[in-house]
Amino acid sequence: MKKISLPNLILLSVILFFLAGYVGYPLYAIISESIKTPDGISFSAYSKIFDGNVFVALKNSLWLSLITIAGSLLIGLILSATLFFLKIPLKSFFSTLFLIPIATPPIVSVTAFAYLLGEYGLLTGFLKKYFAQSTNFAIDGWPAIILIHLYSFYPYFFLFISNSLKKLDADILDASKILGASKLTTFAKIVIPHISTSVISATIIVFMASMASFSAPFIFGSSERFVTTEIYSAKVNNDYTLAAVLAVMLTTISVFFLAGVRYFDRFEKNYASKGVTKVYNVEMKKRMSIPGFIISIIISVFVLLPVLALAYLSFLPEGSLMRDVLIEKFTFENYINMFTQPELFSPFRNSILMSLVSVLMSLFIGISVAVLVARENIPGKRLVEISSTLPYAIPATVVALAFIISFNTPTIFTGFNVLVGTFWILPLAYAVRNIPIVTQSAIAGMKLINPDLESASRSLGAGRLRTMFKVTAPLLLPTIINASLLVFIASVGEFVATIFLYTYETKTVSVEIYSHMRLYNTGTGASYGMLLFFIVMLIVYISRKTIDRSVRV
Amino acid sequence: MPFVSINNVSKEFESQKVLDSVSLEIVKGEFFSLVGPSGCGKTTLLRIISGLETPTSGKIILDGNDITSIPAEKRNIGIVFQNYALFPHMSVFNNIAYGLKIRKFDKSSIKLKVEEVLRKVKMSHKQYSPVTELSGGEQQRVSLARVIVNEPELVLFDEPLSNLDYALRLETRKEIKVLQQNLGITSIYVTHDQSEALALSDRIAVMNNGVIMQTGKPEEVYNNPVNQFTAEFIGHYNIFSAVEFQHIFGNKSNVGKYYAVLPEKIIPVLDPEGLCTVESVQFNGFFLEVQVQCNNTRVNLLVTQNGGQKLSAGDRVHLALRSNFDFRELSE
Repeated sequence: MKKISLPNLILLSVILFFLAGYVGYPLYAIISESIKTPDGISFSAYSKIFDGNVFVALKNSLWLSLITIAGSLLIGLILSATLFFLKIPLKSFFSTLFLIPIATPPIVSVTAFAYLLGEYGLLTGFLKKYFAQSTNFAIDGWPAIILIHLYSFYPYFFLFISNSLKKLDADILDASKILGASKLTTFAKIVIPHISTSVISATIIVFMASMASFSAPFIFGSSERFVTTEIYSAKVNNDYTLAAVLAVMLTTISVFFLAGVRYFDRFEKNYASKGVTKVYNVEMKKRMSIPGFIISIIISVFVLLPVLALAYLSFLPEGSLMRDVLIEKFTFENYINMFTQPELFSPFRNSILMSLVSVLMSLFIGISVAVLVARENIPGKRLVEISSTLPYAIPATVVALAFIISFNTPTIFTGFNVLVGTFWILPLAYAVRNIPIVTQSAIAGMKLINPDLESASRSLGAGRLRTMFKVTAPLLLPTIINASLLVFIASVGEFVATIFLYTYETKTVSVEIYSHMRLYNTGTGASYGMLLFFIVMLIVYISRKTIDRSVRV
Repeated sequence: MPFVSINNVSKEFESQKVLDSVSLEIVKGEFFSLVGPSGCGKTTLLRIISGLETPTSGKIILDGNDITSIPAEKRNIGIVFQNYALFPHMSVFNNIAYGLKIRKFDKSSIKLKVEEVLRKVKMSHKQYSPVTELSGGEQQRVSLARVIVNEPELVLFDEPLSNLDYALRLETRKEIKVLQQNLGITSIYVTHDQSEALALSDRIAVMNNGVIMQTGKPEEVYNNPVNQFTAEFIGHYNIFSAVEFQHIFGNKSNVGKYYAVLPEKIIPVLDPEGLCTVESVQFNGFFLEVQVQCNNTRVNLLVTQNGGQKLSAGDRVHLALRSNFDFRELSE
């Protein structure tokens, strides 16, 4: 039995209480809901998986994920290879631009696509007016969902493959060439194996995210069934048993793949070669590549068009019917109203407050876990680490459903209050989903800090606490700031859990975007969308600055 | 007829001249070294010979054929890289078989060739190991095997020993030399370590700022440097102006503008009236490294321990040449 100090014991208890209450107990509640029948415990509800509707939903979700993976992998591979191997102008501009969709809250992307290519979309109207009046260009159902998925998920492949390519040793490419390999052989035998682990990791992450995707199927897939939207409709129809069965099924698939990610992460570390990796410019061609430039321009337009449509429509006067693609009168009214009319301001205030609360909660738990796991030798360390990573694999729909089932009655974990319907349930749901972000980056940050620095501080006479505050904390700060910003981004535009859990008083910007779009209040919906977009981009900018500064340290 | 000719090769990167009409001739079977400080252009020249870079002007002739415009993968030239550049996702066997597979050898002859070359570099026991599990020295042997298995016409070495520790470096350098002699492969070896170049090479070329400063056999270059740079870089010569030289040694010679003297060719003699003061004495095993100051001219000496006189910092000495001919006159 390892010894454990009193402060560590207290910290460990707090963490375990939180994880048990807000991860363990809800998961238990949802499983027990799925096997509870009037005649006692039974797995009979699971036979519904093979029922027509549920089976169709499962099949559709799987197909959607596979198509998403294939398409995003193709786009991501082409873009990362283009930016890495070819010589094109505005390279760093493109590499930043291509990542915009990854930061954009899904509800904003989906709404933007609706405003661009939906029934009353800008581009739809434009094409109709100037090209073919009889043809309907509006997209809906599968094509729309796939398009939005490609938009949201190709950046994962782009990011993972680009990062992997940056670690490719230029001498290895030269060695292959010298040994007689053509460019194609080098690509097939050296580059592809080199990026394969990152492709697999990205595939698993995109698969999980795509299976859990809710916004796009919810808004564009009214006539199609998907697992996530089926959970929502089961909940709306008060069929909690079916909802729970679906949720357990979805989570099981997801957890299985999370284990896969962790396996491949470990695998990749073994690949790091010895010796000094020489990374210099491996542009294979000396001349500008025109096809590469054209591809980059096309994807940039694809990335920017929905956002531009959103921006354009945010200047549309409220109540305007948009009979023409051209706005008759531009106005800043929508933006002004958001901040002056209490009813329009409160969702904004809610979103910001909830995100701040969720950042604080996930920071507290995440950093505590990281400190215990990375530096201390405590019993049950693996269990703490795994259970704090687990929420990453639980889709937001499932977290929300589990919270509803768990916290509609008083529990010890909630201080014997009913959480459903309160303000607190929303930031709690966001925090639970985001704890893994903080834990993982804090652990990674701690591992980057040379333990000798702490030893040096101790040997110079500083106590443990002083060392913690004067050495460890300042070095860890950039990592923490960055993780906080990521949690804030994920929370401020969160739609999926919110739509399950909000009440009239706790409406957030994301819910407002959705409801204004449904009510055809285009101007207000679009300006809320732009507001979220701006907040998120501002934070991404700040976070990049933080990283830049921390690199210099 | 030379086996490799480098004819007036120049290279500019963004209008900066890295190589300035370099010409060299290397005969078949020769071990030739390019030695110079980092940034002198030696690696660029190596990359041009291999085809990984194209020269701005000039020609590379290999065995009578102009190969300047032939792409790297079509020249039969091997490179041993500084960081080994082994393919991390392949085993030792597959790394070595890589070039053979591209040349479409059949399976059984690939196996034979790989096994034979592994015996040559004494790595047979690691045939199926992943290369990431090898030590630096072992990785370098595999890297060498991967090159020679293709029987290249020319092998280029790009500072292959600089990532190894001192003892291993000495050992590996002997092995490279033995292997090169046994196989008779023409080799061009790039290094910034002058002792490595002197020990290994049949001939060396000293480079600085993209220009060849001197070419010759190691002992020629060491004993008869023709310019200040070579004298300092290869022999750590002390360089004196004509005035200083006369002042310190009293020699009357009016031919050179500068005079170069090897540290081991100068004898310090204890002399209370001497011109020079001993600044520091460092024990270095066989030699004592002594620094003396003679009227603002610093002179480095290597003195054998049994030189008789005990020197310590602060002693006054005068300097003498071991023999009257132990200096070189330099025109520049």
